[in-house]
Amino acid sequence: MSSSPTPEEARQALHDVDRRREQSARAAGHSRWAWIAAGVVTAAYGVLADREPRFLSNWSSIIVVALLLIVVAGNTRRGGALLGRPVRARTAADPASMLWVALVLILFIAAATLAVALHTPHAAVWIGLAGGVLLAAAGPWWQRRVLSRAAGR
Amino acid sequence: MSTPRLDPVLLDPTRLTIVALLAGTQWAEFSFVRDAAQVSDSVLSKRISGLADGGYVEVRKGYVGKRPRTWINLSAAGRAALSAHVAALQEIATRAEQSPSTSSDGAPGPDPVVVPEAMT
Repeated sequence: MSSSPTPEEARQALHDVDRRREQSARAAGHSRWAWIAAGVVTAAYGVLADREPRFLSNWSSIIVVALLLIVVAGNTRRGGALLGRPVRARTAADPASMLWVALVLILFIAAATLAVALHTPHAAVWIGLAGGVLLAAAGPWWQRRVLSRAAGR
Repeated sequence: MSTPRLDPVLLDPTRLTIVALLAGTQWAEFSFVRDAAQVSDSVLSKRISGLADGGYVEVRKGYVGKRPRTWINLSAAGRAALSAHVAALQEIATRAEQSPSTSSDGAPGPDPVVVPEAMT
């Protein structure tokens, strides 16, 4: 491009910038399968809590710590490389999205607490299934939204 | 109205591509940027060195297992430069849509966009 780009060159450059931002936003996200796997794990955790409370009382801490470690490791340079993620999204770029996540989490926890308080039969199964479906279905959408907004900043 | 400032470093399409790729990410792997920008290792190395010298990007080297890796991150200065550059490009495109550069009655066209001399 010359030092004084023409309007056409400027438009072309802007188009390229948008395209590259979208490209890196797509690469920074987890695949749909990762979200579905997270949903399945959450649902399975709910079913286990209902069917095998003894097993879970022994293993729940280890399972939760292992999952947290995977998540944290995936957000480091080396961990991301090990997990096959060559690029990580820029976080803390979108406080509005974080607020929405906090709101959904609060509503979900409130609903779960209510279900337990009302002695709903198999509450853990329903809570796990609801959480799993929410993760698998809304996760990719939310991720796309956050990454697109982060890339545009 | 403030005059938009094009960044001379980002007038190079490859550098602009690299910086745009890094805009929404933190610590992208060298191989990702190379593949996404569709350039060779040597071309990317040279461009990244130039951008790092200008303070646009930060570079970290390390190992994952036994394999060496290089990660690149857009610095705050690089992010600001990209924002300003994009604003200047938008200004050029918008001005062209709003008013032709030379009118039929000989009236002057819009103010030119400033390109600083440094770092070309």
